[in-house]
Amino acid sequence: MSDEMDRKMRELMGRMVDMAPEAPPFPEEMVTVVAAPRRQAPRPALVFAGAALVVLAIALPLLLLGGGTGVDPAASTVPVPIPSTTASEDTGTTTLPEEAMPVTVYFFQAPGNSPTGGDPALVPVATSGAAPAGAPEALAALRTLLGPLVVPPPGLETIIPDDVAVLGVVDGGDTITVDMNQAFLAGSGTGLLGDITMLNQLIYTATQGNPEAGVVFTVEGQAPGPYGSEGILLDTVFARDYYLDSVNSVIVTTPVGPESTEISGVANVFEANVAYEIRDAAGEVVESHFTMVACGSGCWGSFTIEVDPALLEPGGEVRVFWNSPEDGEPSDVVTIPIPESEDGLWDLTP
Amino acid sequence: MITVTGVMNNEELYRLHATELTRYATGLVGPFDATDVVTDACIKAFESRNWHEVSNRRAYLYKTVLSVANDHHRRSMARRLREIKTATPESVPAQEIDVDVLEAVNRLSVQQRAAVYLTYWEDLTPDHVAERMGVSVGSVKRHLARARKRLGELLT
Repeated sequence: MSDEMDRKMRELMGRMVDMAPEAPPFPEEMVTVVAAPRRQAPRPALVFAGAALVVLAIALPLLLLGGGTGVDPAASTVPVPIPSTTASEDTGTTTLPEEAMPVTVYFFQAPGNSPTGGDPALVPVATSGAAPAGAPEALAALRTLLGPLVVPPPGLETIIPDDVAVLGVVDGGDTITVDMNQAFLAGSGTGLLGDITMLNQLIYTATQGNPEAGVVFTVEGQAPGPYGSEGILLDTVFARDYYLDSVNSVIVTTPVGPESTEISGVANVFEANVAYEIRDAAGEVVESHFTMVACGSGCWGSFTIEVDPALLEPGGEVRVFWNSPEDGEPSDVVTIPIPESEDGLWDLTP
Repeated sequence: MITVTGVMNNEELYRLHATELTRYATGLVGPFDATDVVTDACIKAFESRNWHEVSNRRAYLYKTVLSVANDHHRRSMARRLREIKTATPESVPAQEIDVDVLEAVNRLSVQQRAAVYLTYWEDLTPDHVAERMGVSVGSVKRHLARARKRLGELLT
């Protein structure tokens, strides 16, 4: 697609929008019902307190209704009966039909785990998820990521234990409240770095639709206790930049499919220079180039790599990294596999 | 079912998003019917049985506008175009009408218009366009490719 064509398409839509009439007034016949809150810019302490109040407001009526300890907190956020349990049926929650939707989940690339090498990194993967109609996409994505039978693409893994599950999600716009089960608090079981990586997997996956949003964790509808091997306190709003320096100096945030035209992310690399290679299914490099990051050395900035979809062979991969000034070797290599399906979605079922 | 309640009622929500929804509807059905589409979509959404369970209401409204615009059918814009070409000045809507643009956009399906609008006007990534439209990323790319092909001769 040429830049000129893009410019003309943009101009066409601009001229179309120029003709837009005034918005119609609010019609009398519209039914007034209470809507979910749209929060202002998050102030961590207030947001968490607000989330706690919401949780309390939800939990209290459920307890009064006699749900007791068998209450499924998912019912309080969105109507989410967890398929593998019967708790939600006990509360009489209405089961809505499942709606399939494309989602992005973040897996973990362990050192040396990639067929062509790679460093510890988060890797986005496009796949198909499902959630009850009207539920936030974050719920569909997290349910996919945390599915007990999920099979990550080659070279990737999840550091999240099998028994960790999401119970519900409230998308409040600026803040996404994610309700987890008790197993979540045990962390990854692999130490502090693993625990942080696990949080990052959850945070990046939950904010796939709104990368600027913050994430508040609750556990079974309550404020969570200490998390992981070091007892990390979760009484704050976690955003994508909270643990930015903990995993890798290059973070890719767009999954790659056979029709991708752009690969985006953020990086904090030497002289703001991010390199990339496209490899075919046989592992041969078919393109090697670099692009600039929006911020120089010592700071994080965004980058976008424009790629020719014709070079993205199913079964191939894209490697994004930076070259060490000491020896010129690739550092912080993120290897993103390219799915073989036409729609660019990975099948993560066994 | 327990619902999370808050301070924003439908009227406040409507005021917050009516302008952007009207622009979107204009991209889908043109300026003549955009307000009707927005009104119908909002009534449909607000009266929906599931409305009180919807978490991302803005996204839901966008999807409903697209759904109503689909029902509206593209022939309506063609009919309106014919009317405007034969209209007397006083019967032309207050906003200035760009017939060439409408004729170009009229070549596209509503789904293609949505993909083009969200990509080129809202600058959304294919992922986000797909989410807004409730379709797969592959579908978005197909809509865009076909739209570019159909508009190619006109725009180059």
